[in-house]
Amino acid sequence: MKAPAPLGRIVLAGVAWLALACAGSPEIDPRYRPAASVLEIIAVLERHVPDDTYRFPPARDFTERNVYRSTLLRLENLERLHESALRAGHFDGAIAFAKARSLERLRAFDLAAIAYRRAAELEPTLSAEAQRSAALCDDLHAAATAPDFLATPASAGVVTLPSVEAALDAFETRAEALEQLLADAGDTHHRHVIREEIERLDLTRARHFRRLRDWIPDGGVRAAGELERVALRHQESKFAARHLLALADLYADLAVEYVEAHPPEGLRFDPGDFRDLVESGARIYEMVAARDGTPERIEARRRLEAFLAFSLSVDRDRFAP
Amino acid sequence: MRVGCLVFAAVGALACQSPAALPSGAPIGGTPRFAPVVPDAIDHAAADLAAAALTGDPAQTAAALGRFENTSTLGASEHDTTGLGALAEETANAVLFPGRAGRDATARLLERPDVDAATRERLERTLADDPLLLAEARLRDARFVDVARVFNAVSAPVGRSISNATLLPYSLGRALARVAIDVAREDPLPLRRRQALAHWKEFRRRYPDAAEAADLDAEIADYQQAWHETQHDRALGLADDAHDDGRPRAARLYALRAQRHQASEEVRDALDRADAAIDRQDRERAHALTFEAADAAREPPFVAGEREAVLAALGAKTPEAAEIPALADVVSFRATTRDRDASESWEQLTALATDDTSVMARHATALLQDPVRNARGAFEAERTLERRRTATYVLLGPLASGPSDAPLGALEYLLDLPSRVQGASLLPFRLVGLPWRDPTRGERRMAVHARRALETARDDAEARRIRAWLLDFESRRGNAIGALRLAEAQPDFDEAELDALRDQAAEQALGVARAEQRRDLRGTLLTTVARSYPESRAGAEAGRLARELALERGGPEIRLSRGFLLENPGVTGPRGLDLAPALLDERLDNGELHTQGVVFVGGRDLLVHVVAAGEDEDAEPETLNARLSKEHLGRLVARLEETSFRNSLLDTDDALEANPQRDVWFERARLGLDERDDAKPGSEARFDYRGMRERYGMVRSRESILPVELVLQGSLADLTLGAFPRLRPPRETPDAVLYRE
Repeated sequence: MKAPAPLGRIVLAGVAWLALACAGSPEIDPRYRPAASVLEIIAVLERHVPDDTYRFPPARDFTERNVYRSTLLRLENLERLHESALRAGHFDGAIAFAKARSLERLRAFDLAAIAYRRAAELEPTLSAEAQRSAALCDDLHAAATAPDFLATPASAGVVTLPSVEAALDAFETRAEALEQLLADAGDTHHRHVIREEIERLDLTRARHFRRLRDWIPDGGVRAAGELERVALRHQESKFAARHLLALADLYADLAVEYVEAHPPEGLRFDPGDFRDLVESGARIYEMVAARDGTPERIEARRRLEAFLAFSLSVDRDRFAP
Repeated sequence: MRVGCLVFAAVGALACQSPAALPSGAPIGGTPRFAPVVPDAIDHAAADLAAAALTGDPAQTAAALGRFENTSTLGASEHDTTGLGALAEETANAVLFPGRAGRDATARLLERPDVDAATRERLERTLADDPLLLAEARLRDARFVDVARVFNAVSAPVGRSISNATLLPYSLGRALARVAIDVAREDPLPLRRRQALAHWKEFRRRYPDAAEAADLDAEIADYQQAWHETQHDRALGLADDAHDDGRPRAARLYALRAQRHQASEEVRDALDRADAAIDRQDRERAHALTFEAADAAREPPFVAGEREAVLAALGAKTPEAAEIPALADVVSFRATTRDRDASESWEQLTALATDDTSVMARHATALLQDPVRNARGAFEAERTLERRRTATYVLLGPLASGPSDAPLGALEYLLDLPSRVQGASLLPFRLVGLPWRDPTRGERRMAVHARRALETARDDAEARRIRAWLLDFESRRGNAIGALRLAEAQPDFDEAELDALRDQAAEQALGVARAEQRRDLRGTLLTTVARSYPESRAGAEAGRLARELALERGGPEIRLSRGFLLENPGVTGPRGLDLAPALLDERLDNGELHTQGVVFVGGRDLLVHVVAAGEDEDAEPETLNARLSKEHLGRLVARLEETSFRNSLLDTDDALEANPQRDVWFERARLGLDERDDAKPGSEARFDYRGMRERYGMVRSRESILPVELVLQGSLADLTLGAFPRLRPPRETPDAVLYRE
C-alpha cells in the first residue's frame, strides 16, 4: 500500500486533532454518579488526611472552604442527593469513616467517635482503624471539654483568690494526658491533631494567667511568662505569628497601664521599666510585621505604629527610643 | 412582498397569542420517592476501593484498585464504560503517592482520556496550587513587568511619531529617562519578587527533603538580602518624612529600625540629624521653662517683699498688682484670656504676643497659635492660605507644584516641564471649572476650624460670616443635612431657602436609609427620616417604605431566578425542586414562571412568582405559596450546592460566591432544622442564583488572553495621531496586600 504523501499526512493529523478537539468531554455514566461522587470526595479527603495541620493551615478545596469542612458538607449533600442509590448501604461504612476523619479535624471529637464506631460496625476493612481512632477521639473529647479551671463553683458571696499552684497542677495534669496520647499516636496523622490540642491547652493556660494578672502577685510577669512559653513552645505552629502578637499586645497593655498608674511627670515613673515594656512590645511587633504574606503582618504593622505613637507621647526626659 | 407577508404573519401571531393564565395545578410537585437502586459489582468494587483507601494502607489500596479495574472492564472489551476509572485511580493515588509524589501521579492521571471536564479542572487547580509553581509564576510576572516597562516606553513615542517624527528623539529620550527614574526608585526587592521569596520559604518549610529545596538556598539568601535592603530603604524614607514633619523622635525611631535591617552611612546621617533636632528641641524647651523676658537686661520680675503682690495678682483682686511693672503683663494676660470669646481679647493678645519685652509674649503666642482655643484665628489663617493656593493653581496650573521629594525628583520635574508648561496655558479652563471643583484639603481644614469656632464663639457678625462660608461649603459638597443644621441655627435665615434645604436633606437621608443592607437598621433609618422631615416628599416616601418593611416577612430570601432554573435542569427537575414543567414551557396560557423565579423565604416555604393572569412577562408577577417536605428541602439544597460547585469548575465566569448566612441556612435545611429561622437581623440570608445569560447577556465580554494590546491615540493639542502596541502587565494577585509597605 502506498504511504500517504506528507501533505496528506498533515491533513490526516489535522483532521484527527480536530476530531479530538471537537469530541465532547467524557461523561460519567449516570448510573455510577453516586459512586463517582463518593470516590471524588474520599480521594480529596485522603490526600489531605496526612496534612500537618499543626504547622500549616488546613488546605482548601476548589470550593475555597476548609477541606475537612467541605468534605463533611459534601458527604451530607451526597446522602440526600443519592439516597435511593445508597440505600443498599454498600458505601455506608466508608462514608461514616470519612465523616469521622473530617469531624476530628473540626474538633467535634465526640461526633467523630460516634461516626468511627458506626464505620467499625459497617465495614470490616475499616474496623481496626476505626476502633483505634474512636478511642483516641474519646480521650481527646475528654481533654477538650475538661472544665475550665476558673469555672470551679465557689460558695455564694465568697470571693477567693485563685491558687496559682492549683491551676498549674490542673494544667500540667491535662498536658501530661495529651503528651501520653501523643506518644501513643505514633506516626499517624493523629499526632497533628493532638499537637493542636496541646497548643490549645497551652494557650488556655496562658489566657488563664492573663485574665488573672490583676489578682495575683506579679500577675503581669506571670502572664508575660506564660505567653512567652506558648510562643517558644509553638514556634513551628501555624499560629506562631498570632502567639507573638498576643505577647506584644500584652506588653503594649502593660506599658499603657504603667503610664496610667505612674504618670510620666510623676515621681514614681521609672524610665527603665517603661523602656523595657516599650522595647519588648515594639520588637515583637516588628518581628511579626516582617513576616511577608501573612495577615498578621498587617495587624502587627498597624499596632506597632499605634504603640509607637503612644510611647512617643511620653515626654522625652522620661522615655527616649 | 414576501417580507411584508412574513412581518404581517408575525404581528398576527403575536396579536393572537393567548392571554397569560395561572397554572392549573400545584407549581411544585409533592415529595417524589425513588426506587432503591440495587448495587452491581462495579458499585461494590468502588465501595471496597473507598474503604481500602481510607485505611491508608498502600497494599490494600493497590489490590482494591486492581479488583476495581478488573470489574469495571468486564464485558466491555477492556474499555471502562462507567467513567469511574480516573476517579478510582485518583482515590488510590492519594494513598499510593503521598506528599509531593502525588503531583507526578496527578499529572499522569490528567493524561488519561476518560477524565471528565469537572474532574480535570479540579485536578489542574490542585496541581497549580504549589509554592514552587507559584514562585515561578510571580518571577515570570516580574520579568514580564520589567520588559513591558521598557517596551511600552519605546513603543509609545515611536507609534505617536507616525504623523510627526520631528520630536521622536526628544520623546524617546524622555521616555527612557523616565524608565531609568522608575528603575532607580524601585525597591531592591519589588512586590512580585517578594511574593516569590515567601513562596520559596514556604516550599522549603513544607518539603525540606525535596531535591528542589537545596537548590533554592542561594536564591533565598540573595532575595532575603534584597528584602533587608528594601526594609532599610523604607524605614529610612519614614525617618526622612518624620524629620521633615518636625518629629525628630519618630525620625530617630525609624532610623533605628533601618539600622536593624542594614547598617549604612545614610542611617548614621539620619540618626545624627534626629539627635541634633532632638537636642535643639530640648534646648528650646529648657529655655521655655525659664522665667525670663526676651529683654535680659530688664530687672528680675520678682523680688523679696513682693510676695503679697504676686499672690494678689494670682487672685487678681488688687488693682495695685497691675502697678508693679513685672506683674502688669501677667494681670493683663489674665484679663484678656478670661473672655476668650470676645474679639477684643484676641486683639489684645495679638498685641501682647508682639511685645518683645513682655514675659507673657510667648504665652500669648501659644494661645494665638492654638487651633482649638483660637478657632477663628485658625480659620482665617487657613482661609488666607487657601486663597493663595487657589490663585496659584488658577494662574500656574501644574507649574505650581515643585519637584517631588522622591529620588531624582528634580530630574523628573525637568522632564515633565514641557507638558507642565503646556498645562499651564489652559488657564481659561481652570477658571471656568473653578466653581465646580471638588472641596480641597485646605477647605476641609477650614471647615473643621469653622465648626469649632461656631461652637464656642458668640453669634456676632464674624460668626455669621463663618457660618455663611460653612453653609456654602456643605451645599457645594452635597451635604444638605449639614447645610440644613447650619441654616436652622441662624435665626434670620430665609424661610423659602430653609424649606428647599429641608427637602434636599430629606432626600439625602432617604438615600442613606435605602442603601442600608440590614433590614432592622434600614427600618430605623427610614422611621427617623419620616419623623425628622414629615412635610417633605422624601419623608412621606420614607414613611411608606418603613410601613412596607414592617409588614414584610423577615427571614431569608434566597432566589432562584427563571434563567437559573432554565440553565440548570438538575435543580428544576424531579430530583431537585420538581417544578411543574408547564411553568417553563414558554406558553403563557398554561401558567409561566416569572423572571423573578422561586424564592426560599424561611422554614420550608417557597414563593413561586408566575406571570399574572391576563398580563405579560414584564408586568408585576403573581405570587403562589408552596411548602416542601423536610426531605424535599434537604435534597433540593444539596442539589443546589452541588450544581453550583460543578458549574464553578466548568465555567470560570460562574465562580462560587461566598455568603455565610446562606450557607448556615442551607446547613440547617439539610439537617432538617428548618422549623424556626434564626431571627437575628445579621443572620438573614440574602442571595440570588442567577443564570449566566441573565448575568452576562448573550455574548460575554472576555478579557483577551494575549498580553499585548493595540493602542490608538490622538491629541487635539498638537493634532497628532498614533498607533502602537502595548504590553499589558499581569494583574497583581489578590494576596499582594500582604506584601505591601
